Amino acid sequence: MSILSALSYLLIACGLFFFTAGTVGLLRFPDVFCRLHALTKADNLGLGLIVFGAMLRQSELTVILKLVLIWLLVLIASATTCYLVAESARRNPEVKERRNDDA
Amino acid sequence: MMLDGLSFDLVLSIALIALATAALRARDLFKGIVIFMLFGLLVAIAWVRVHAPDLALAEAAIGSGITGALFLGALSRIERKKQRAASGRLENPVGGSTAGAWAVLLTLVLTGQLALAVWRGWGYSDGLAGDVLSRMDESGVSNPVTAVILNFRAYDTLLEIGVLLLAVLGVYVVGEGQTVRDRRSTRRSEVLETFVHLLTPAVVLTAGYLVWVGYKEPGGAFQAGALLGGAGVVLLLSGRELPLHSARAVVRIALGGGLLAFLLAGLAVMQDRAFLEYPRASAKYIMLMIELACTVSIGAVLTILFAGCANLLATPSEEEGS
Repeated sequence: MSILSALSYLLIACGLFFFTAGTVGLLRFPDVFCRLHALTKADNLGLGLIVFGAMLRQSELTVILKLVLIWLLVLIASATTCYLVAESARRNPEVKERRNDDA
Repeated sequence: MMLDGLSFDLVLSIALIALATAALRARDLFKGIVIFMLFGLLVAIAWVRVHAPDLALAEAAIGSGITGALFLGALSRIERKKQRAASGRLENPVGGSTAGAWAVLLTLVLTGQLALAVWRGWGYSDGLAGDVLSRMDESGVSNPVTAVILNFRAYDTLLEIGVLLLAVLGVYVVGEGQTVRDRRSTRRSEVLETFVHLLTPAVVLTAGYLVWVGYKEPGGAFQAGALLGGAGVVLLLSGRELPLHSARAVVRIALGGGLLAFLLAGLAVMQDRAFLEYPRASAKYIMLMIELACTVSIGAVLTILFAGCANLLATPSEEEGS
């Protein structure tokens, strides 16, 4: 196994750790804002690490650029949705209080 | 490697069944819709697993994205009506009732039928894959899915575009002229505006790319049109007023263009061959032209379906004018 391959596995494993942490946060944190905080870490850093790991396994430049593009688009989209959800929760307190265990 | 794939598929299958059950059983309709959208995304991954990336793209964009937006639009409309009737939250009508039992029964019967069909065809049928692949050079494109959809069974696709047009006419008949939601209540947000500014050109570019790449790789009018529809939904949600009134020429051209281009292309070749039987030399360009027109039509159809659901069809200024 080459160094590059080992590094890519390491990066993907780190990315998966952030996704796991984000999911646990989504399920366990008490209110909307804490959950958003946990989720955006997964979207930004977790996906970034996975994309970086996947890039190391590619040789074609176009594929690498597409991967970077995917990460950038998700970054923009997740930052915007995070803001919108937080803003909506700030305006409507009943959304903030809606708990996970009501289903 | 084989085993890895198998365990992944197993987890995926279990997750699909669990999500489908959860979506039906969720007491809160909003929660049910969100789970349904998640279900759609996993179905898209399942299509990738069976090497059908075209279907995966369509499922992710239409099955999960646009359908979810339609459900949410319909839900907000029902909830507003309910509020006027002064009652509480909506309950999921399917979960835990006799309707649920019937749904399960129907699904089991359909699954049984499907299993029987697979069992009977086992071993001596590859479907039509062989026929399609052996005649690919007649199609003018190198992506077999595009060859089937736009050439070998173009008649089906033509009718599908027609069905979409009929659906939109239905939305116009029911939705237009109803009281328009007060737009002052939807606050414009600068963050969302910037996002829309960044996203819309990127979406249009990607849609064009998907149409173009469809002749050799996964992509095509339905996927590209769904992307445009998604952009339309985001534009509407950001509080923008799109010219969607059915009296507008631009709306009529956008909606009817796909069907019109299809029919014209089909008729134009009839001088010395059958309806929709393209000459081999120009087949690629005829299909590309049809796909471009259909992309615009599908995008417009999906946007208007959402606008109809969310009560955003007629704009206040037009209401005053008419």
